[in-house]
Amino acid sequence: MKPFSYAAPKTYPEAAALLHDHPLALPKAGGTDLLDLLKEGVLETDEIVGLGQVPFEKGNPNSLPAGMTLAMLSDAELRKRFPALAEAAEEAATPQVRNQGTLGGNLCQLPRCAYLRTRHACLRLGDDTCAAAAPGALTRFHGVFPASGCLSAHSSSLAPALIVLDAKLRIQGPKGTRELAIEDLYRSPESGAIGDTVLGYDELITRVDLLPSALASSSTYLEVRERQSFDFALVNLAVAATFTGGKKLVVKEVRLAAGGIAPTPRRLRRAEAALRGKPLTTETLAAAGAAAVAGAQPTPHNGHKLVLLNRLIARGLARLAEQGGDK
Amino acid sequence: MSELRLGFPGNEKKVEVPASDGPAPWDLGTQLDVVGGDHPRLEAPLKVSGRARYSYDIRFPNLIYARLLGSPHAHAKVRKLDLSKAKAYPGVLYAEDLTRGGTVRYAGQAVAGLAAISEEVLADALSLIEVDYEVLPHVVSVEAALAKGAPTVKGRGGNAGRARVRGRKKRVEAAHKAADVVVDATYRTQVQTHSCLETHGCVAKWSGDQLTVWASTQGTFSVRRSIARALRIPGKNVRVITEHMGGGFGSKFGADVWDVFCCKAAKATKRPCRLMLDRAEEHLAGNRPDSIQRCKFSAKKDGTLLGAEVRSLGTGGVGGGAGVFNPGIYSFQATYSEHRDVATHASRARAFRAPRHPQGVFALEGMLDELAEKIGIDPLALRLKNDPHPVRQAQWKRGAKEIGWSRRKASGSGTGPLKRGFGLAGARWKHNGRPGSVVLVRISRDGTVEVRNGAQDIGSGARTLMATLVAEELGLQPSQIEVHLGDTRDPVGPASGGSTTSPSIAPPTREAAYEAKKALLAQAARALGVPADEAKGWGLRAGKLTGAKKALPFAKVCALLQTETVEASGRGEGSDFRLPRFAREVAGCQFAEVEVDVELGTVRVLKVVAVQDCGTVVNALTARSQINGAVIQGVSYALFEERLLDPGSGRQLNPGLLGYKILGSLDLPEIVSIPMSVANGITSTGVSSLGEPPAIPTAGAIANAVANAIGARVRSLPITPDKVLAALAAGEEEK
Ligand SMILES: Cc1cc2nc3c(=O)[nH]c(=O)nc-3n(C[C@H](O)[C@H](O)[C@H](O)COP(=O)(O)OP(=O)(O)OC[C@H]3O[C@@H](n4cnc5c(N)ncnc54)[C@H](O)[C@@H]3O)c2cc1C
Repeated sequence: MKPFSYAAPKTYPEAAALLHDHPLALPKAGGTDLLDLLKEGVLETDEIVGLGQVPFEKGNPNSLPAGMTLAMLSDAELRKRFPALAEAAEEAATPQVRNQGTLGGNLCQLPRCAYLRTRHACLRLGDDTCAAAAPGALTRFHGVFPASGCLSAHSSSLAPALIVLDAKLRIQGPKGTRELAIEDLYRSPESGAIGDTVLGYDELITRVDLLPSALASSSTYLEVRERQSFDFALVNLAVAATFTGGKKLVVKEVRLAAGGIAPTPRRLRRAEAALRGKPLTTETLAAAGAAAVAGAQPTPHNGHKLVLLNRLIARGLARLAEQGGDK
Repeated sequence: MSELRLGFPGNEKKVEVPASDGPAPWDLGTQLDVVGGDHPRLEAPLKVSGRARYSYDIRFPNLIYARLLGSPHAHAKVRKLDLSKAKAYPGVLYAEDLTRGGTVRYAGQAVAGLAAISEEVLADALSLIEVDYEVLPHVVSVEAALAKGAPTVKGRGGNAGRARVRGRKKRVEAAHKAADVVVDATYRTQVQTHSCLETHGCVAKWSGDQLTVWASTQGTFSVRRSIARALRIPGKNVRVITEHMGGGFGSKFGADVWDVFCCKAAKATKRPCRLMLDRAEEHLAGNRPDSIQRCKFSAKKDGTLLGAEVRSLGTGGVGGGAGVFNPGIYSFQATYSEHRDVATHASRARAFRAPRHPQGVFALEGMLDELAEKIGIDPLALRLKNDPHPVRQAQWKRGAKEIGWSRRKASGSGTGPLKRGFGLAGARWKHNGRPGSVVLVRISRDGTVEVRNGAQDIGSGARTLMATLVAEELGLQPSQIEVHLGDTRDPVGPASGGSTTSPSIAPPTREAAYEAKKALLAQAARALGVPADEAKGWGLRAGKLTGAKKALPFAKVCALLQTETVEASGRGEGSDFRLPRFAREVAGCQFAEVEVDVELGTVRVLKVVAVQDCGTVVNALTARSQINGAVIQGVSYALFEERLLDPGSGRQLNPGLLGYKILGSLDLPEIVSIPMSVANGITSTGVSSLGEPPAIPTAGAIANAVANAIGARVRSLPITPDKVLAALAAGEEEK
């Protein structure tokens, strides 16, 4: 790791100004991802802007400070209003990482591609080829929907949950603040740019705003991983759905978003369309599953992710239907 | 002659043995006071409070730090290596070109070493070493190494080594012909790295021509020998200390290039030097090789096993030793095996807890279950019918009861997405005690008892084992005995490999205590004016002198010493280490209960029952702990661990412990460890090998349980969700 200087601003505007003045500076929240990347030599910087001293105003319970730790997100009150988020936070990482990692950092974590992390050829690092796309490459954990030639799989557990909850982000820049829908936070990978958010180098997420609703409170989160802890999901999925009808449930409203399958979290709009207004039957679920994986380009090693996505969709809806059929 | 009662309750055998001067061997009739009890490790308080000093923790005020630079290429010729910039970097004290021969044959192979005043300086300076590589083509998998036109790893010839053949092909073919059922299948296992919690390395400090090395090793004396040889100095000038050690599993026997470099840097700079590997480097410092095992097994309708034929390949990288233990354990009419080591551009394999066995048993036990399934016989019944070992016969029954084998249903018959399954597998090992160790027992006038040997405690609890044996002989408690281990200035002891430490160290320990006791009692008798003849019947038990007129407490007996101490060394001379008198081999078996989510392919191991023969159980607590540890490593091998080398670069894709997955506490099953005492009459203590055998059957038992749960077989380790889903899908297609 190269030596760097460390700034500890007390407010977000100050932090944004510091970043603006040092285009190579990097913001650090919990540091659980950033410090690893610096140690592994994937990132380099001569200045770190630590966000740990920025105080957090709690206030409105539906407006979450970006500095909240994952552990704080699995709170009982939040669980009632936004179950998908609390569940996602609880499933993520390890107790230690959840105590240290933050909401903002989680959304901006860099891809967990083993090739990138071990500094193999990577489009994001500015190389002209992607080592993961080479014949014979080991891609069991990679995505099935490559974008801009990048095979990585987005690994945030929180992002899919916030997408189905339709969260709005508050962004601080050097000149002021703006609002951004979470779905607009991510963009396709760009050559030479390691990150996958639309944030400027001098912008920070300061809050995540949520709106309680019947749909939000009828949401859930599921993931499949190999180990019970200390492991990233092969595929994760957030589902929010409401139903009508008594014995035979009909899907009223539905939102689906998945991670682990593409470089950015993926809203499954086509699958939503296949569900909306339809009775919750095996046929409907099969149609939704087929729509979710349409156009996928699995590698020889990761076809199982399509199966997993399908089955998580069915499980997620079944879980919600069981909980709140009458809503 | 005297008669020994050997075996275990339910299967007893009387054997005549010649009488000896030494302590009488223990048998089923022996009344033991502390041997066999639960004794917490003597060093436990130090370990849990962080006071135990590992080699990793050794620091000195003027300590310097060393590291090696690894090649980024899997195969390359080093055209030029320039250390001048690195050497000139402020704080760098020593540098060396390590590219002997000029060719690197695996990614990460050391090409140069540096020593500097701090780790930060080292990191900076390493990046200033300039190496001009001529990159050459490489192969990192068995398949690629065997392909036409593959680059050769070891110079001349192809990458496949000579076939090692056992048994006769004709005979096994004849056996297959006579069979009612034949199963043909290919099993694969992955490369597993040792992942020792304490990485490899040492701290070296010179004083004149005397070198002291604090090494993280499982062989203090083998490190001393190899360091002396590498530095061309007499072994007596090298002292190796390993007070506590954080895991070796077979990967830490000798001095490695980093250790030698560290000693040289310390010498050149006249300052103590420390070199411990980081995790990525540790992954290169040894592994359990992978395997591809093509098996053909046959049996009669009644379950009689006939032929077992195994053709295997495996790679130990640039090293060898990729053979598999297969077939074994059961009585076949004919067996035939053929193995080839395949060289690849990958780091060298090393001994790993029961080398060859877990991979072989995974295939062997899978094949047996496949036969059982075809014949329609219960897997347990098939084992009982064909297992020649008297101890394992009893173990199968004990384990089956413990796991609830009767709950096992037909394979794949469960309903709902969560399916339960049961599986089993066996293990065999040798009674591996070796002669040659010397143990010193010293009793002082103040009542202290000191035991010394220069071998390390690899983590098995050797200190406590020795204390327990001495305590038994002296009528004391283990906590009253002070044991010093891990310093080559003390008498010679075994390297911890092949599960030899306890069986090798136990007989000399007991003998030394026995002789020291004799000397103590003789002096006490003299002091009390009791004629030697009359004192013959004296003994020590429950802290007191027995057989005498007054039951003096132990401390009072010691106070009678006319010399400051009495001491005796034991050499285990009265013991024949190669003479098991009850059963020739160590037996073990395990049962697993799993739950598989057939929609998601995830496997949870719910319970493992391990029944393991240990000869005499000296300390039941640490014996169970050995078995627990082996099972944990086995579950991890079965479900998670796998070294991933990128075919394109030859570099490891999972060099850290996030990507190289070792099971975590939530993945742990309930483990029921049952150390079984078997009086086998080898040596005066009957202590046998325990470290490795319980590491053998776990993966096989789990794989069989998974097959039972889902009604389809995953013939490849680790059993990950993608493989479970693929096996289920293939099963669907067959139907
Ligand atoms: C062992 C392990 C297992 C893990 N498992 C999971 C898992 O299962 N699911 C999951 O979702 N995650 C997982 N993670 C990732 C972990 O959740 C993230 O590392 C963590 O949430 C990041 O938060 P942080 O505060 O530490 O971020 P940092 O490491 O400080 O920052 C991460 C990135 O975000 C940027 N950043 C930080 N704060 C802001 C901000 N306010 N605005 C803009 N950019 C910002 C930083 O510059 C950096 O690029 C795991 C990590 C580890 C080490």
